[in-house]
Amino acid sequence: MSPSARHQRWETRPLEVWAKAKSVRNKYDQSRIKAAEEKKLLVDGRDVQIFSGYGNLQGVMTNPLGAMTAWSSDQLSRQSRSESECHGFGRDICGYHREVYGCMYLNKDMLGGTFPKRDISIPVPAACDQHSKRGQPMADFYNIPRFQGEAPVYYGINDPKRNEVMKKHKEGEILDQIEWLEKITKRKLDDEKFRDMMVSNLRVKKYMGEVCALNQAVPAPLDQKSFFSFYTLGYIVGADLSETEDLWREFRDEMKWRVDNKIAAVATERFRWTENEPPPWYFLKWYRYMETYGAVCPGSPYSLGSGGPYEWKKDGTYGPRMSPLDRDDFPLKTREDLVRAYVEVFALGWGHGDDFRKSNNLVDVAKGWKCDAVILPFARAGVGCAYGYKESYIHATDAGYPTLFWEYSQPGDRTDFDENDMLERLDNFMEAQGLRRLED
Amino acid sequence: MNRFREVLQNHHQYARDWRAKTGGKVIGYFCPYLPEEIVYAAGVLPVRLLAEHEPDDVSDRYMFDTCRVSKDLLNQVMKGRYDYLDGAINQEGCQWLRHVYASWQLHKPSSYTHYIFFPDYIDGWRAKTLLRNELEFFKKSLEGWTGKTITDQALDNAIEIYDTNRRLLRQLYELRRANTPLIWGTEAMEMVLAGQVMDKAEHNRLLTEALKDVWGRKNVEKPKVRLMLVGSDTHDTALEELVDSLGGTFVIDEVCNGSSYFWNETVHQPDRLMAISMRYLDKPNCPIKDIYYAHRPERIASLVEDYNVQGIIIAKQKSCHPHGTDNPLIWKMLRDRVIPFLYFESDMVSSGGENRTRIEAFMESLVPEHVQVEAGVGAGMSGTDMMGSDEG
Repeated sequence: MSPSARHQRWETRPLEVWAKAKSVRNKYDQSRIKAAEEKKLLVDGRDVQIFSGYGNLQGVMTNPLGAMTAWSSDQLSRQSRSESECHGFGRDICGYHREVYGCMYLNKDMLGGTFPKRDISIPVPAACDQHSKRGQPMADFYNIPRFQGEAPVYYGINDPKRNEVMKKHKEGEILDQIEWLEKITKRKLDDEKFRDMMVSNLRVKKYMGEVCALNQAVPAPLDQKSFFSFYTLGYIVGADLSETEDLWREFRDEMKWRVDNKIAAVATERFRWTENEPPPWYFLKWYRYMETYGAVCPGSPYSLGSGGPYEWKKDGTYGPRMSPLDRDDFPLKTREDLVRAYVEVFALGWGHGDDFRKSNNLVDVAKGWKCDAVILPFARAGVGCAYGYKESYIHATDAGYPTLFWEYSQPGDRTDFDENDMLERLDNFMEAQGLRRLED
Repeated sequence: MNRFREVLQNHHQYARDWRAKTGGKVIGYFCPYLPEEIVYAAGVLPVRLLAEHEPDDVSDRYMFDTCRVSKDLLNQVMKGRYDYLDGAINQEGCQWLRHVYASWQLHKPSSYTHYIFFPDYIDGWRAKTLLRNELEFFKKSLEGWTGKTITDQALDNAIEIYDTNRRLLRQLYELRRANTPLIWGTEAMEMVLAGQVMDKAEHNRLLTEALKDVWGRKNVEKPKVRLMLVGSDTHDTALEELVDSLGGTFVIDEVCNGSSYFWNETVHQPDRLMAISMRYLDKPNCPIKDIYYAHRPERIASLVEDYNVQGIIIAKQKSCHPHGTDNPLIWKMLRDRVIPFLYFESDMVSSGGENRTRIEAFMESLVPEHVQVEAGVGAGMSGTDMMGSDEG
C-alpha cells in the first residue's frame, strides 16, 4: 500500500471542470495572438468590461503575462529579463515587467511567434509604484495612444465625504475613458454589450466568491495550485462571455457537491496554511511537495481576492460582500449605472484605505479558512509584494499563527531562486509543527 | 554661508529651538509634493525628514526590500530622533515613503497625522479638481488640530514667502550658469536643503544676504568639469563634496529636493487652494508622477543645454522603482544626444567613498587635456602639435 493510501483520510478525485477551464484559457491565449488577424486592436489594459462594448478591442496585461512567461518557459524568461536589463531595467524592477518588456524588445511571444504589437495603452492605475509606471515603456516603444487613470486612496480616519469625492472622480474618469476610446476606435460604445459584459462579470464575480467561500470547508475541496489556473479566468483573462459564465457556474456547483460529499483536493489533508502575494510561478510544484506532509493551502488573500472583498457576517462566518446584482441601490440600466457598478466592484483602489489591509486580511483569511499556519514568501523587486510584508509577519505571529518567511527573487524572476533552500526551510518549519513527510 | 551648513547638520536642534522660540508646532513630511504653504499658513513649521548615513539595526523588523532612504528614515523615527515632532503628514508619492509613514503611525502614532492624495496622473484635466478637494479636506483637518482658522490672508502670506524663496533659489541657480560659477555644488545644495528644514522667512533673509556675498566674490576657481546630478532624492551633500574635492562641480541638478523643489512659482488666483494645487501639479515631475507622456527627458536635456553641462551623474537609490523604471527612457535620450553619463546605484548607509574612483574616471574622460596627457603629449605641447601641423 502506498504511503498516500496508508495515510488517506478523505476521498479525492480530479476536478471535472478542468478541461473546460483549459479550453477557456486557450481561447484567451489565441485571441491575444490573433488580435491583428481578427482586425482587433490590442489594448495593454484590463478594463475588459468596457472594451467589450466596442467590438474590436482585445485586452492583455503585463500581469498575468509576466507570470505566464515565467511559468511557461525558463529559457525565454531568462532571455527576456536579460534583454530588459540591457535596456536599463535593473534587477530591482518587477520581474513581470522585465519579462514582458524583454519579450517586447526581443519581439518574441511565450507561445512562439512574434510579440503581439499593442495598439493602445490603458494601464491599471497605481496598485503599486510599478503599476503606475507600467504602461509607459510599452506605450513609448510602440508610440501608441495612451489613457491614464488614477487610484485615489487615502489613509487615516474614514471620511464619507472624501470617499464620495474620490468615487465621483473615478466614475468621471471611466466616462472620460469611454469617450476617449470612441475617438480612438472611431466606434461608439455599445451600451447593451457593455451592460451584458458587466452583468456577466458580476455574475462570474459572485460565483468566484461562492467558490472561494466553499473552500473554507474541511477538507478543502480545492488546492491553491489548482485554483491558480482558474482565478484570472473571466476577469483579467477574458474570453467568451457565456462560456466563462458557464465555467464558473459549473465550478461553483462542483465545489458544492465536493463539500457535501467531503471530496478533498488532498486526500491526506491534516494541516492547512495560508500565504500571500503571488507564488514563484516557475516552482509551483512546491504545493505538491507540501502535500507530502498532508498540507494544503485553501487560499490566500491574493488568490481569494478574485471573489472578494470579504466581511465578517453576523453569524460569525467570513464571506463575500453582497454583489451589486443583489442590491437595490445598484440599478444597472444606464451607462452611468454601469460605470458606478464598475467602480464599486472592479476599479482598484479608491477612497479610504487600510494601510495594513494586507496584514488584517491575512489574519482574517487564516481564521476564515481555518488555517493552522502562515507561510510568507518575501519577493524582492516586487513593490506591491514587499509593501507591508514584514508587518504582515508581525501581525500573523501576534495573532498566534506559526509563521514562516523566506526570501526569493520575484514571482516572475527565477534568477536567484534556490529550490533546495526553500524546501529545507519548509521541512524545518513543518517539523517544528510536529509533522513528518508521509511519504518517507 | 556657514549658517546653512550649521542648520542642515543640526536640523533636529533647529526645530526644537524654533518650537521653544515661537511656541508653534512642527510637523515632519516626506516629499516635495506636500503643499507646505497650507501648513505654514496654519502657523506650523513643516520640516523635511532627512535620511542619515547610519547603520540600521531597526528597520529590518518592519520593512523588506525597500530603499535605503526609507529604511533609514524609519530607523531614525523608531530610535526617537524625531520625537520632538508634533505630527507627520504624508501625501501620495512613492510607496517606500508611504511604508515609513504607515509603519511609523502603526508603532509610534503621532498626535496629528494626515494623508493627502496627490494625483499621480498630474497631466489629467481632472487632477486639479481632485487635488483642490483634497487640499480643502487637509485645510479643515489642520484647522481642527490647531484650533485656528487658516484665513485667505494667511495663505497669501505663506504663498508670498514661499514664492520669494523659490525666486531667491532660482537666482542662486542662475549664478551656476556662468563659465566660472560663483557658487559650487556643495554650497548650493546646502542652501537648498537647509531651506527644507527651517522657517522659510528666516531662510529668505539668509539667502538674500548670501546672494550679496556671492555676487561680490572674486578670483573664484573655475571647475575642471561641469556636471549635472540626476536621480533619487538627495538628503545631504556627500556626493557634491566628493565631486567638488575632485575639482569638478555640479552646476545643476534634476532631483526632487534640488531644482525640482523650487523651480516654479504660484500663479495667483482668487481660489488660493486651486492656485496652490496648480503650482504643485505644474512643478517638475518626480518619476512617480511622470507616468503619461514623459516630461523628464526633455527637462534634463534642456538643463544640459542651459547650464553647459559636460556630463551627467545618475545616482539612483537601490530599490527605487520609479527612477529605475525611468532608466531606459533617460539613457536613450542621453545616448541619442551623445551626452556622457555615469550611472550608479547608491546606498545611504555607505558614505559614498566607494564611488570616488568611478566619478574620478568619469570626470577625466570628460576633460580632453587629461586624455592627451595620458597619450604622451608632454608639457608645453598643444593638441595641434600632437596632431601635426600644416607645415608638416
